[in-house]
This record gives sequence, structure tokens and C-alpha cells, in this order.
Amino acid sequence: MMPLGLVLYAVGVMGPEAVVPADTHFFNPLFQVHVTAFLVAYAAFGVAFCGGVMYLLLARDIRRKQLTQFFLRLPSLEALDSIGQRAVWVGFPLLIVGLATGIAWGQHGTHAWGLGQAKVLSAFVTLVIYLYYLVRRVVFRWSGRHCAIVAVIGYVLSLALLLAGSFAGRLGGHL
Amino acid sequence: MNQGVGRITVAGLTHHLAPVEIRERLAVATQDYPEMLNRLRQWPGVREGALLSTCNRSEVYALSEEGESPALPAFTEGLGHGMRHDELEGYLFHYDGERAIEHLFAVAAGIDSAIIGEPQILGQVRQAYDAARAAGSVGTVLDRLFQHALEVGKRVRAETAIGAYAVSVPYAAVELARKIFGDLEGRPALIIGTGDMGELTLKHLIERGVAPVYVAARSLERVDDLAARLGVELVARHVDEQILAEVDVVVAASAAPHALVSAAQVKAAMRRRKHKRPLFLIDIAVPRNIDPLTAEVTNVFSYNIDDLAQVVTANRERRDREVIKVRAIILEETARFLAWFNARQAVPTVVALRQRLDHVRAEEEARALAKLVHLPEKDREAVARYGQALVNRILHEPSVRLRAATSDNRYPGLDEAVGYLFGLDQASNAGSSSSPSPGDADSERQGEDNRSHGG
Repeated sequence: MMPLGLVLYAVGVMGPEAVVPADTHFFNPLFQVHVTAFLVAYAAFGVAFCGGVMYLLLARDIRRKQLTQFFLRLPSLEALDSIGQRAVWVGFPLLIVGLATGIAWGQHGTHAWGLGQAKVLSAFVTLVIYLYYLVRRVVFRWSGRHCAIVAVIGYVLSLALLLAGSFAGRLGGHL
Repeated sequence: MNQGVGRITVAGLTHHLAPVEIRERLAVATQDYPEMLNRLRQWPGVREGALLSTCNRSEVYALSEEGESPALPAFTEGLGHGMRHDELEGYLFHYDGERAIEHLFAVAAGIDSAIIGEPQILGQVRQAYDAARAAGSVGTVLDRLFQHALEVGKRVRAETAIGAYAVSVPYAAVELARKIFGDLEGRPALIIGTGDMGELTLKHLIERGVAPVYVAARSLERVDDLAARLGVELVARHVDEQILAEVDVVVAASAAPHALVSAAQVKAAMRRRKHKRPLFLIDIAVPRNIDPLTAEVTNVFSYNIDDLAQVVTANRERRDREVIKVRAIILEETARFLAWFNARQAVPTVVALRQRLDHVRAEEEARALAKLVHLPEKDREAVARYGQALVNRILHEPSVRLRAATSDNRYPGLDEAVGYLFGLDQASNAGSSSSPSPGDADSERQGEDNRSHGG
């Protein structure tokens, strides 16, 4: 799932503009930081997604009292929970960095990368999703099942938005 | 089984045939091992001997001469347990050769134990081996056999899941707790009631580092008694929402005829929990002490005695399925050991052949040197070395091939054919020195190897 996320994101970022390789605008360091930060952030959310899926499968096994291969092979629920939390802690600041550098880069060049664009909006929604995850964890001290569900749904949603944003960009750019 | 190299046998009794009343009378205490091994070593016909005594078995392993195995009489009469042979009738077993090797490997692998895959047996085999070595009752063969058995024990535990699943209710509970929380170090737990099963489960949890431990019991004396038995500090508490919000594991094992933990209580406790961690409820009481509806509460895992028993049954079945894999490993390892053991059969022939050629060389050397008296000492030595080198070169290939052919039984009777061709039978009739004992044969073989490589 994680490599798929990376590929989709790479397609989303490069989009139709990528067919113009001679454009020096893409060699701007801001753009490079923007792409790298986004790639790593989505990879980290991918890890949190995997941790969440494994958590839910293992918890279902233990709850149903049918200890299958999941039970035998997976690490403990607490370990899976911790993997998800750490991954989001890595991904969230990088997402902010990616957004900020993206907007800054967009303002300098001819390639509009402002709030009005669909993929920028999708990135903001992703930010809100994972902000919700972290607030739930830090302020309300949630862990376990709830967090796993947020990590799984959040990742699916943000990927869907990214795809939608990318398509919208191809069709006309602004919403 | 093999002429000359002896036969490996095992005799004794195990939990398969003998009830505990019999087993306990034949059990050998650790401090009695040296004396028993000494007796075994001196038993007529026993070349090498070892003793394995656990709560499941008492067995004598012996390397003996061909013919009647001494393992059984050594076991029934030699160990001084005071039981007559006819009293033991029907409880005893006796295996020979390949079957005996397989048996020891199966014992070390844990598949002959009452609880398949139990971990203690490997340590007990090691103790038996160490004791036999200390007493000097094992030689080349049993030493190698026991070392091989220990390797088999380690291999099956590394390559199969024979020991991987909990097969008792308390262990299953602990395994589940570890699957939920990972490390149990410093996890708070509550035990309700002071029943035996609950105590045993708590003991396993404490071994894993669970602390602090709260106890809800009918009286403080019971809490103190339990603390004294477990050797840890326990804190008396009542069962309420507050304590349920604090702990991660609850073990209920009281004799109360009704539920002591309700679903409403657990729901409220989960809301009060500072960290929204999971809560693991273990109810091993009958009638149940924990409302089954608690299992519906989010982040709560609730197991009763039947659920745990079901886990144990499933785990036993898993271990049983692993036995097939373990048996395959045992067969493979037995074949490997037998190849080594059978190769020893060729050793007396190789040694006799070397002695025969050495004899010829010595005769011819003396004859030649008698005619070469005019040569200086240095050249006379060169002539002697030439003869020795020639014998080594000639013997090297047949020795290697003879041992290889004997180890996999490729050409049955090849050693006899070699004996016939070189007249070794006549040579052995002529002088008793050319019929070496296996111990001598070993050292001879090594010497022969060294010489072959040198030549």
C-alpha cells in the first residue's frame, strides 16, 4: 500500500506539468524540499495505515477468541499502536513543511500552487485529519482501536483526496 | 546391530506405560547419579552407559557387545531400586539400534513428553549427559549420541513451533496478555479471590514483571497469606470503577456465586482511564465472576475459563501438527548419526589392513637394509621413509572408500571381502594384537588419517 501511495503522490505532484522537463522552475530548492517532505510524509502515513490495519486484525482475532496466523505472527497490540503513533509524529511535521514550501514555491513562479488549487486543499484536509489524530492522542490520551481506525480511514481519505486533487489539476487547475 | 562396534540399546520405563506409582520408585535423584552410573559401567557387557531420570521417565542407555543387550537387566536389577523383574512386567520398554537412537532424539525434541514440546526435557538430557561424562561412563559413541541429541533438541525448537504455543490455562492467559500489551513489566494488575488457579496465573504474570498487584479478597489474612506464598508485596483493594480504571489486567478467581465485575462498571472505568489503554479481563472462576457483556466494551478483552481452555486445545492441536515436522527432522538426524556409527564398522578392517601392510613393509625393509649395509645412515633412513610413504599412498584410497561404503551400506560385506583378499582373518588368527578394541581402533584410525594426509 505504501509504495502505491508514493507512486500516486509522485503522479499527483508532477501531474501534467511534468511533461515539460526543460522548465528550470522545478530545479528550485524549495520545490525539491516540498516534494521530498511530501513523499516522506505520505510514506510515514502509509506506515501508520499498515500498523492500524494490523492492529484491527489482531484485535479482532483476540476479541473473537480465534487465534489465527495473525495472532502468531504479529507483534503485540501495544507495539502496533506505538508504530502508528510514531509514524504520524514523523509524517505530520513533514506534511507542514511540504505544504509551506509548496506554497512558497508557488508564489515565486508561474506554476500556481495556492490555496485555491485542488491538490493544495487536499493536502490541507490531510493535515486536519492527522491533526485530529494527534490531538486525540495527546490531549485525550486515546490509544488502541480508535487511533487505528483514524489512521486507516485517514490514509484512505487523504489518498482519495490526493487523486481527486490531481485529476482536478489536470482538468483545469482551480476548483 | 554392528559387528565389532557394538550396539546401542535403551531400556526403562516412561509415562506411556508406567503410572506415577511405579515411576517414582525407579526415579534416580541427582545426587545418586554418580553411584548409579558407576554400577552401570561395571555391569557385564556394558561398554558405555548413561542414565536419564525425570518425572516422566527412567531410562538406561548402553553401548554393549553383540548378543543379549545388558540395558534391560542393568535397569531392572542393577539400579538397586528393590523392585523385582516380575513386578515391572508390562511397564518396561526396550529399544535396540536405530530405534534406540530415534528414541533419545524424540525425548530431547520433547515429543515423547507427557506435554508435547515442554521445554525442561532438553535441560534434563544435558544434565544426564554431563553426569555421565563426569562419571566417565560414556565413551566415543554415547558421547556423540548425547551431543547429537542435544543438537536435535535445539534444531527442532528453532525450525518448528513445537514449543511455541501455551498449553496450560495460566500460560495461555499470560501469552494473551503479552499479545495485547507486549512487555508486561510494570503493568498494574488486580486479582479477585485467592483460588489456586488464580494464584498460578498471577504467579506467571508476576514472573513477567507485572506490578503493582492489587488483591480483592474476603479478608486481609487471605491477602497476607497470598503475599507470603508468592513472595511479593500485595495491596488489598475493593472491586470498583476506580481500581478497574487503574489496572491493565484483571484475574478473577473467587468462589463468589455471582458476577463481581459488571459491564456498567467496566464501561465507566474505561471512561475514567487516564490512558485509553486496553483492559484485559481474565475470568477463571466458575460460576463466572465477570459479566460476559464486558466483552462488548471498546478496548476491553474479556476471556473466561472456557475461552482459555479453547485456546489451549487449539494450541495442543498446533503442537500435534508440528510433531510431523519434528519426526522428519529426527529421521534425518538418525540417518546422519547412523552413517557415522556404521562407518566405525570399517575401522577394525582398516586397522587390520594397515597392520598387515606394515608388517609386510617391515619385513621387506629389514631384508633390503640387510643388503644395503654400505649405505650411509641418512640414505638408510630414506629407504625406510620410502617404504612407509608407499604403504600410506596405497592404503589411503581403499581406507577412505571402505569407510564411505560402510557408512551408507553400499556394498554389504565389503569389509569381509577386503579381509579375505588380504588374508586378514589369517593375520588375526596368527596374533591377537590385530583384533583391536573399538577404542584402540579410534586412535588407530586417527593415526592412519594423519599419516595418509602426510603422505
